[in-house]
Amino acid sequence: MNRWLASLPIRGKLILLAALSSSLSLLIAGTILTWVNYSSKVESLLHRLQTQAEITALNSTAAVAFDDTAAALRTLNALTADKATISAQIERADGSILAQAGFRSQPESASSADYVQVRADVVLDGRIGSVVLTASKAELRATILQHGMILLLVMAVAFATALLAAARLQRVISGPIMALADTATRVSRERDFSLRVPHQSGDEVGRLVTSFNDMLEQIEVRDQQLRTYHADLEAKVASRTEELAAALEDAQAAARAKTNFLANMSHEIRTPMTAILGFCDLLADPAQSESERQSCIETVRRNGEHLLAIINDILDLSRIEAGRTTLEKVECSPARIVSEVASLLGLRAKEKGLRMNVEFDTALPATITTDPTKLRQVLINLIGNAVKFTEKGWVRIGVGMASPDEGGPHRLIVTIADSGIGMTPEEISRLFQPFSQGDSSMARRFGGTGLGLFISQKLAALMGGCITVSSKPGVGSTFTLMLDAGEVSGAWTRGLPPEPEKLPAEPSAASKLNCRVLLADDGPDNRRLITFILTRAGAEVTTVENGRNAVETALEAARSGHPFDIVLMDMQMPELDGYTATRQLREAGYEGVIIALTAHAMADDRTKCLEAGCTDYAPKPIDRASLISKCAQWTAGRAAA
Amino acid sequence: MEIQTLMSANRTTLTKAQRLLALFAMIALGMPAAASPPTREDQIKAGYLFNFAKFVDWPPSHPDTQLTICFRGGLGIFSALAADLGSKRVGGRPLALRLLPETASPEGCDVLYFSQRDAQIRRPEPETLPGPMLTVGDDKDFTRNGGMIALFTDNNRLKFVINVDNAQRAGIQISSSLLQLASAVEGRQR
Repeated sequence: MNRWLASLPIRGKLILLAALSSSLSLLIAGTILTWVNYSSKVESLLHRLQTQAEITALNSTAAVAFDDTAAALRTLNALTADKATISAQIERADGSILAQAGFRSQPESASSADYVQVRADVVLDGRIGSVVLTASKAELRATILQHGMILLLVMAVAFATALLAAARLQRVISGPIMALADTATRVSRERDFSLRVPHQSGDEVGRLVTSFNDMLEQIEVRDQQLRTYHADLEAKVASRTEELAAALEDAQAAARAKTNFLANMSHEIRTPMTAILGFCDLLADPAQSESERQSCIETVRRNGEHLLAIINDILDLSRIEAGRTTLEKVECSPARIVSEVASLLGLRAKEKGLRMNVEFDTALPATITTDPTKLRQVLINLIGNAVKFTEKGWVRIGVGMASPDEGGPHRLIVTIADSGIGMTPEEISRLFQPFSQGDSSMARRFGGTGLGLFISQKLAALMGGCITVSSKPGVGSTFTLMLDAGEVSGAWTRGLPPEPEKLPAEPSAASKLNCRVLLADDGPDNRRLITFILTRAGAEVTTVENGRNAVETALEAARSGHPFDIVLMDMQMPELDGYTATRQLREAGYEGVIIALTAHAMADDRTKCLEAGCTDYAPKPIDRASLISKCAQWTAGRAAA
Repeated sequence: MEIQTLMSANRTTLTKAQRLLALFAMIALGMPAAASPPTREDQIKAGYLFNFAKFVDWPPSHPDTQLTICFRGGLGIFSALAADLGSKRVGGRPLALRLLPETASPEGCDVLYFSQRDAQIRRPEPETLPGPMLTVGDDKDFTRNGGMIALFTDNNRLKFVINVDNAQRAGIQISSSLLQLASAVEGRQR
């Protein structure tokens, strides 16, 4: 029963509830009413009987008094009218029956419960007898039964009506619930959280529906968020994967570039090295004539210089690549720098029979603010290339300022045009790649490291500019350098500015040195070379192998009253390096000239040396002329002092 | 109207009673009116007489201290009534019996009983009486001669006849219950 009730749909439960409750209340009410009715009927029957008995008793007083049976019977017969009365009798005082009347037959099975009996005394100066009336409840029973039947009928009708009414009315309650249940089932089956339960009522079910809808909405929103997150995540993963792939590609490209670079480098360095070593062997051959020897020496020297250029370029490149290139910002004359570079390379152009001229496209300010060293390096590269790749014809150098944009910086424009071999677009596209020349065969024809333009481009970018190129094979190329001029000042003129005050005339390489030099260098070849160069120039040279000896020797000479005029201090030495030795000398109160020798061609080397206490700086490899002139310069200063 | 004097519910009893009644009647009639034990008829008649008093109303002015039943003759009834006089009451009034000598006035009586002989001597006209009193006689014609209730035996049955006019003339009110039991009621036609 319970299970059956539990599995009954709400519709059925509601109908059952309505029908049962209405029937039950009707049953209770009907039963109570019937019972009340019955008992009141019994009551009234008793009352009626009692009244009749009393009246009969009163009317039969004389009959009893005179023991008149006939009169008593007459009195009793009046009671026939009441259908309920079955029998009546009048008794004398002693209980004997005076008169008796039976009106209706009594059923055989009648028991005392089916009858009511009332008794009324006949009084005449005391009780002289009694009237006894007996009534059947059968009629009452019949009435009650009839009532019961009517009640049952009414109940049946009410039950049916309640069923009908509930069947219709239950939709008000079960409708929304069933809609809710249907939607919930659909949601869980189809996973469609955009479904909503149609909403109408404002009762608890309505609230339930509202809450359910809210819940669905939250789930939907969360679902969408989840999907969005998912999509985002996928996109992110994809983009990360792409980035990683790109990074990997870059890394691989970089690795390839490094490998290529090393391979190229190796090749570039081995090529001149092979020539140097080979021609040295030829020099050792005693069968060689003097002119052949001269040729060999020339070749060795050229290849040595080429090797040095390559190494310098590599150093530049590595500094640039490592981002360690520092940029100076000093005021300098653009016209002078261009002119100097042009005149420097003009000699080689003249040797090749090329016309080279510098033209001022616009007026130039007296000074711009940039790094003159790097500007010069770039110009040397560009103009050198123009000279190198032009067999005949001309090289034109145009210099001018681009009028600044509104509030923009001044720009220096240098245009180097030539009537050289020119380049195809493919060659141009490879132009600024390291170790590339227009044609790989060109390296042999024209020499060069193939790093020049790459470095120049990087330097131009550092100086806030760029190098562009236009070219036509067989007609010529035009390189345009444009860079940030920084702060400009001075008068704007077309042409060379006045020469600044001339530095003291450099002594010629042939000038005689008359001084004592202490050379500290751990390399015996270098010691021999420098001693040879300086001794040939007239100097007296003392050599030591390390820093400690240098410090001791220098201090001892100073104490003995014959100090060295110049100390040439190699910076990389065993025992005590040049930096420390110089510092110790200065700490010991040594005041003489110390010139640092270093093969570290880095820009900050000079600073490092000067910081250590050096007076000047001479880079290795040693250039004979510049070493002599440097020594002459410092001893001349001493002489002047 | 016929009155069954004995129990009618039981046939056997009735037959016995009738025989008894006949025996009593014979004895009573044969006996002189002397101090002798009362017959069954007398006893019944005494009961009737006593009961009549209960169905009668006297005028309001009439004294109701005790109910006096006077007898002119009817010694048997007198003695039957006197048997347990103390226990008998009528409407709360104690009962008193008076046997009147022939010459005595029935003054102070509430009920006056005439024997047949006496009734023929003296007319029981109400106007001749000294006060309102119920007159009962054992003569059939008692009521026609001015009496109120005639109590007599007819066909071995005790009957009574009431004359309402005579009672009213004396200021006596007789209950309708009693009237219903009477074999005949006279004077109604008026």
